[in-house]
Amino acid sequence: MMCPEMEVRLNEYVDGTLAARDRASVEEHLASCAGCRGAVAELRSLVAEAHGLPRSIEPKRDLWGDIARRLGKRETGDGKRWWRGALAAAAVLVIALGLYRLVPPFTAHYRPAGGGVGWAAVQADFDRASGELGRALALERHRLRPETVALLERNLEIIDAAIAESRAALARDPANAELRGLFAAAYRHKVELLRWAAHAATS
Amino acid sequence: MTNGAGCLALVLLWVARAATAQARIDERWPLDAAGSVRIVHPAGRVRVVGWDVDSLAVVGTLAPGAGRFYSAGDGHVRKLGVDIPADERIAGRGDLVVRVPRRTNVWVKSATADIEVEGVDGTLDLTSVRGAIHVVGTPQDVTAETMDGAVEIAGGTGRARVKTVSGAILLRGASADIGASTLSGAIVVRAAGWQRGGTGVQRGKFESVTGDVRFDGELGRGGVVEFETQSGNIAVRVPGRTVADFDALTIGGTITNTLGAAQPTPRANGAGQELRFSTGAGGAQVTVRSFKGGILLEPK
Amino acid sequence: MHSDPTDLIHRAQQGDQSAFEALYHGHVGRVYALCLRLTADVVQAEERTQDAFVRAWERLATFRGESAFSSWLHRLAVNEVFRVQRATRRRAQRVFTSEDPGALERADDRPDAPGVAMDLERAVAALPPGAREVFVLHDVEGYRHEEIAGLTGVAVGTSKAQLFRARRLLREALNR
Repeated sequence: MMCPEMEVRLNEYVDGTLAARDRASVEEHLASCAGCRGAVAELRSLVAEAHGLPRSIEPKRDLWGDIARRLGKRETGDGKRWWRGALAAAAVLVIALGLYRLVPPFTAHYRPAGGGVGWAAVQADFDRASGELGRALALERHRLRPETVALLERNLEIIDAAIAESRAALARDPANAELRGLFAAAYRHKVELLRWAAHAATS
Repeated sequence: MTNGAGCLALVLLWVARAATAQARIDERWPLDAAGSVRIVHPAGRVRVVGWDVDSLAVVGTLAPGAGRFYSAGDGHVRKLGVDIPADERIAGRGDLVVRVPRRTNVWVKSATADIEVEGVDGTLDLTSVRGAIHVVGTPQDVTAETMDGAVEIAGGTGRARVKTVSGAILLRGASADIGASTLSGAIVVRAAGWQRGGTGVQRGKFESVTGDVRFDGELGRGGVVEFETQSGNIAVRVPGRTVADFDALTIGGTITNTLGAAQPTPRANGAGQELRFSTGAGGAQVTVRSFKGGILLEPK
Repeated sequence: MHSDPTDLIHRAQQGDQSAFEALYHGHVGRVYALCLRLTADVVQAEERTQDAFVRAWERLATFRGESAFSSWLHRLAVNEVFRVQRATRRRAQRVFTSEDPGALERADDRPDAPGVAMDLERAVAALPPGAREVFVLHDVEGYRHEEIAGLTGVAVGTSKAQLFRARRLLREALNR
């Protein structure tokens, strides 16, 4: 049915990961190939079904008893390893928070749905993530060269100033979607900076 | 015995020289036409150059204290680099030139070493902390990240993603899909799009906090390009006949437009200026946002 | 029991095991579904689920913020599955032995078209391990290839190849 040499590109097409000119050439092919069109429809349907599978399945038996038994025997790890874990965990946290998805690149067409509660949560999450990373960095600083520390501090000052200004403007005009986008962008830069620092400190 | 003493003296001299001599590297291994290479080089300079031979050749010198050269791998994947002892905070310099088949995928990591890649068409993944990154050629996909070094990509790529903290970013030549992000560095994009079959930039995202952003190039039809800064100024220079929808907004700065007659208006709710206009249907989409910076739209 | 989740996490972080147990009950379904689909083996899924919660208890101090707890836990669970997989080379039992066809039937949501969902679950369980893992992580759970590469240790290109292969095998199985 599907042309075998098209398999990779058709999958990428369905996933939306093709560069524009490849997309155009795939669409050109699809216009005249029923087999591939059918395959694309099947792929889309399969992916949609996969997304729609039940999120949750209860285990047949209660596993808590075994877990509780194991919890009793655990001890915390040594300090230094914990901080490295904290750095990594905090960085992962930022990704896991889906912040980038929650505040997508601003365009004139983006209208946040009911910004209120969701937005406060985003801000709080940002604060936590950067607080976490900042604290962990403070502990790991001795591992960095002095010039790198100076560079980081200088840029942290810059970004903190930008965030403060953005935040003040947003406080005066909280429903402003553009301001929110800019504020979120400033915060993204800060988290990015801290991740750089974590990367430099732990590599 | 004078002979013995003489020999001993020579040996001592040789040992003394060896201890302060540079280590030389000159190795070669077979590598598939589209294999992968992973290079770790902490300090100094590493140049990766594409050639039309199915092998990897590395030549170079390491200063005393620069660490130990190592390599492992096979005809598909090879890793090589310089190992510095874990407690050495400051590595001596090493200078490496690595020749690889043109379609190799290249991954390089450095601390302060500058990274240069020339004539390689595979996927490039280049990371440094304070080193500069310089790419010349037509790699399919480039990711370049450095904190403090400057990044320059010249030629044409399918996709480029560049990130710095304070390093300047210069993108010359053509790419269909560009992302550049910096905190306090400047971003300059020149003549983008026209070399690769003239499609223009299809996807671009340029963001900074305090660095200025300057775009001087062409937009592809249907392209989506976004500029965003906190206080950096943004200048967009495109051909006067460009077909696009423009959407610009600054909260603390001013907008200057000489691309057409449209003039900015004060924002409906609050401080700042905005400007939305279109030079034709079905063209590119250009979005420009700044918190405090100025925005300039002008024809080439 | 109706508790403010943020409070539960905070209490669990102070060492309150009963609060952690409440968190367990609230999240085990999600974790188990993930482990079951990744391993296609009930026994392994149960063990990995336990591992994930034990690890979560150990790492709880590094967690901040309620809204991301399920994602944080989710990632822990994925790590546990692959940690064990790397360490051992046990053959996975087929989940669909004749004794336990009901394991995948007890789903919380999506009551419509249960027959179709079951076919897909069976087909996924029957995939070869590498393809199944990538398919579950990418198409069911929504991870990107870069994240999958980081979690499983395969290259991004391999992750894509496995995904496309999984999709082809699934289409063939479901079209029969």
